Amino acid sequence: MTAPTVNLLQGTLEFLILKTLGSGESRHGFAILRWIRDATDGALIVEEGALYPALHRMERRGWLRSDWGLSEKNRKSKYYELTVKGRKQLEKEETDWASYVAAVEKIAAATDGR
Amino acid sequence: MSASPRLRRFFSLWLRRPGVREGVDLEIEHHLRERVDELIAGGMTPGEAHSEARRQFGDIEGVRDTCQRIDRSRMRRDRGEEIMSSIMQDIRYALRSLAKAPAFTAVVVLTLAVGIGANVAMFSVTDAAMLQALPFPEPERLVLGRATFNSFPNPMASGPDYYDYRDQSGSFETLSAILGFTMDVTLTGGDEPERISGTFASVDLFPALGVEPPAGRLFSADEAEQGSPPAAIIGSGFWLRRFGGSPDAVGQTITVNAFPVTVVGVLPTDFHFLHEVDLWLPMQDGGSFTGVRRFHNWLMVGRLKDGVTLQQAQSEVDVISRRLAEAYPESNETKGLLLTGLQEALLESYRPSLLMLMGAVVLVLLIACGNVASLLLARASTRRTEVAVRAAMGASASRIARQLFTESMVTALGAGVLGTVLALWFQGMILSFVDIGELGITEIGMSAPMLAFALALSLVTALVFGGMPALSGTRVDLVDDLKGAGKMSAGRGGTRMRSTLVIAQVALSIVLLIGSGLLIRSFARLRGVDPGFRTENLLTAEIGLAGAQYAEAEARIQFFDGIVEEIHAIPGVLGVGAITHLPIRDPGNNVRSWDPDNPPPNPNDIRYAFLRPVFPGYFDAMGIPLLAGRDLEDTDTPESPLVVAINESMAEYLFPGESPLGRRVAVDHGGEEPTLYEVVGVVGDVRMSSLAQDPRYATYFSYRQRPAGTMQIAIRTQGDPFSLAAPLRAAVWDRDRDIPVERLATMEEVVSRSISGRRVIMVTLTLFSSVALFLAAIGLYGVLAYYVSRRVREIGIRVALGASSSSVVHLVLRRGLTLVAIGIVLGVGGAFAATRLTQQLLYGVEATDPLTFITVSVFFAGVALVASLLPAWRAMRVDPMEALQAE
Repeated sequence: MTAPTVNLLQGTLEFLILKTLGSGESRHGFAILRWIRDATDGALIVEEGALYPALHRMERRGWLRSDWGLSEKNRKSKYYELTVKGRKQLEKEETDWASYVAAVEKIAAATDGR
Repeated sequence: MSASPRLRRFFSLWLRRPGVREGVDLEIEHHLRERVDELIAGGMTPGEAHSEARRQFGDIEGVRDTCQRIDRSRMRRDRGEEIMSSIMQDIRYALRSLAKAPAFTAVVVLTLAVGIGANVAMFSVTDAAMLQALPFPEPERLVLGRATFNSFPNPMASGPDYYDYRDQSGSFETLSAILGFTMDVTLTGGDEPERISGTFASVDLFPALGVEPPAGRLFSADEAEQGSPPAAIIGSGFWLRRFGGSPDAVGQTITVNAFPVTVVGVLPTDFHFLHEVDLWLPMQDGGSFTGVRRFHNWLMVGRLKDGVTLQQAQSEVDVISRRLAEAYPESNETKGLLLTGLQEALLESYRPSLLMLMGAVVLVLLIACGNVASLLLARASTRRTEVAVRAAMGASASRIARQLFTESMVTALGAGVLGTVLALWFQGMILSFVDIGELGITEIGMSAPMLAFALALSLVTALVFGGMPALSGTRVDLVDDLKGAGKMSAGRGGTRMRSTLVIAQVALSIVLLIGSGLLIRSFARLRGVDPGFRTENLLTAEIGLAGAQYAEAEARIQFFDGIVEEIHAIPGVLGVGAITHLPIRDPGNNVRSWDPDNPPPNPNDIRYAFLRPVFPGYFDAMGIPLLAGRDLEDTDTPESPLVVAINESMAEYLFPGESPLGRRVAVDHGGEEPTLYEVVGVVGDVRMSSLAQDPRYATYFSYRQRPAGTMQIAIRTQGDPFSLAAPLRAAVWDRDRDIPVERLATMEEVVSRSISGRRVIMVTLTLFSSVALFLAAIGLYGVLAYYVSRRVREIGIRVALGASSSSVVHLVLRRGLTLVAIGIVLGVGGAFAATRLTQQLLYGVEATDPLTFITVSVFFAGVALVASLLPAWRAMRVDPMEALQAE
């Protein structure tokens, strides 16, 4: 049974991509997709059409670096990894996300206790 | 199971990186393949998997386009940043390089700055004069109307003719008239009498020019009628001086030549048109200068109606001219009216000088560039090692060329900035002799076109002088250059280029030198012209009578009689002369004069003669020879017969082969009938209008018989003429406090001032050609020194084999003089080609004057010889042992 796919805001998608690459390993687009799917146990399935434009935009922004390589199946594919700038952006967004979640939780808790 | 990142990267080094489009396609394709694999693993058939994968992806085309767009913009931006950073690197390197050789850089920058500055200054003046529009609304519709006689512009037309043209033509919105000259009038009523300048203009002139008075108003239509209250408009300078710029000036009455006029308006400060005068009076039908159709005093300024072309207006005006010729055959038979665009007409007089100077500065800049290029080429050879190192480290030839070129650009732009600052200074110099004040331009300062021109010129200059060294600098022979052997065995390219440069410099210098040589000869000719009188130790001054007490002729005669006698009594005075118009300085006032007993059949063939009332003793004081008969005397009074003295040319013309004494001359004073005079004397010819103009006809009248109100006094002094200035003033003020003594100057000053324009141009061009000569000589020296330094081994060998030192010197001199000879030939050719342009500026000298050409060539060859001597001497001193050992 597949969990409902959630339409992600673009900003969140980029956060997810940053997080995916946060380990330092370089991955190609499909691998990023799969990792997100697996890490959320299928709860988040990224729309493929949105992924690649996001990756290219982030590269233009200087957060990602890309290069060509051979996959395990010996196919030519494009690999992405975080740049120093991208890592900084990831840290920032993690902090922001945490604050955001905390704030929302406070409101959620407040409503309950009314 | 996936290859480690390291391994992957290792492999990736071997892969050719795909381009943008290919890359995006590959990326998407890879994704789809993975998806298909997944789906097949999940149980689908390949066919189903393929279509499902595509479906799941979504809008493949859209994603492809978007990603390509993003990638392309990223690449563009990255490339731009790359270029910017390499340019910045080049600039930093260039600045460091230039700073390492400060003297060299300074010389180059200064040389170029002077060349660029002179050009920018010339451009700004030319731009302001020729390209900028006149400061009036719709200036392209303004035309100047000049009367022509047998198609030659006079240029002034008569008042009645003007009225007829105005009333009969339909091509003009307005047709105005302005007096062709200015008058000096006496302003009284203040502490001191003041001489101010004034002129007449028709009441519609200022409105046609769109003038807006800062105080008061312009002339009204009824002020064009005689009998209306006398009105005047004053110039802004006069307004500030006399009234302190206060609006109270409007409505005040001032007394001009004892005549009261009311100030009705003031002209704006930035208004300049033809005459710079203090006082403008309205032209009145029947008033001054308007009565006689045969007297020509007016210039016409018209504003064409919308849609009417100059040609159309000219045709209409020609019809009117013919009509007038038929109606008034005695005065108008050969007359016409020539219409010219106003701006064009005003430019006519100084276009030749401006163009010549423009040409000269361009040549100077080219020569300067040649020198700089030569210097750079020389330096390029010493930098071979540095360039070779860079090449060995991987810099491509184009990168090196670009870097060398950046150096040239930085130098040129620096020179451009300095040059623009210098240009402001040069502007003043140029304006001082090309007087474009008529166009309303007194100073120019900075302007946007000027800055744009400076920038463009700097870039072009960089190309001209930097291109060659940059090209030759990239021809590196790595092995030789790294070893430092380049100095000895450098390619021939450098020398050939430099030799060509020198030849070009010599040619251009020759052109300039010939030009200035011609101007010098022309000026000397002019300076040496005999004006017809003796100019030394002669003090001149203007005395203008004003006031009701001098309205009667008798009063005027009495005043001047007394003054002349008093001046005679001053110690140091050898002679006193008085005349209405000073020769050289005051042309004009000529009237038709003929032999009444032998009049020309066609009245239109009657010539004009200068009308000059004089005091007895004038000829003697001025040193004008009395050739026959007698001087005018005190006994020639209004009661005695009317007499004249005429000049030699007029005697020859009117009475060829006979003695004119006792014969009669008819003079047209504007009345119905001419006045008849008996010729009692013949005097030598005098240049009345200028040194350059041939003396024409002159009739001298007895002052008592034609007593004018304003006289020019000429005092021959024993010592310094100016020592008589104070006594003269005292004598005049003794008689009447209200009479100013104006325009005090020695005759020599007057003559000198009259040719000052030509002098300044001559001096400037000579300055330019000296600079050019200097630069070319340096260029020649440089090339020969380089030539010798490269041939040290060869010379050493020759000397070791027994060559005499004189043959070594010969070797160098021959090379030098060959270059110079070619340059001279080319330069002479160029000067010949420019003859038509230069001829307009010369007096008494042909533009192809052989003496000048030869002198200049020989002079230049001499200079070249001197420039070659030092390298030749060095060559002679080469020690064969040293030369052969040096490697």
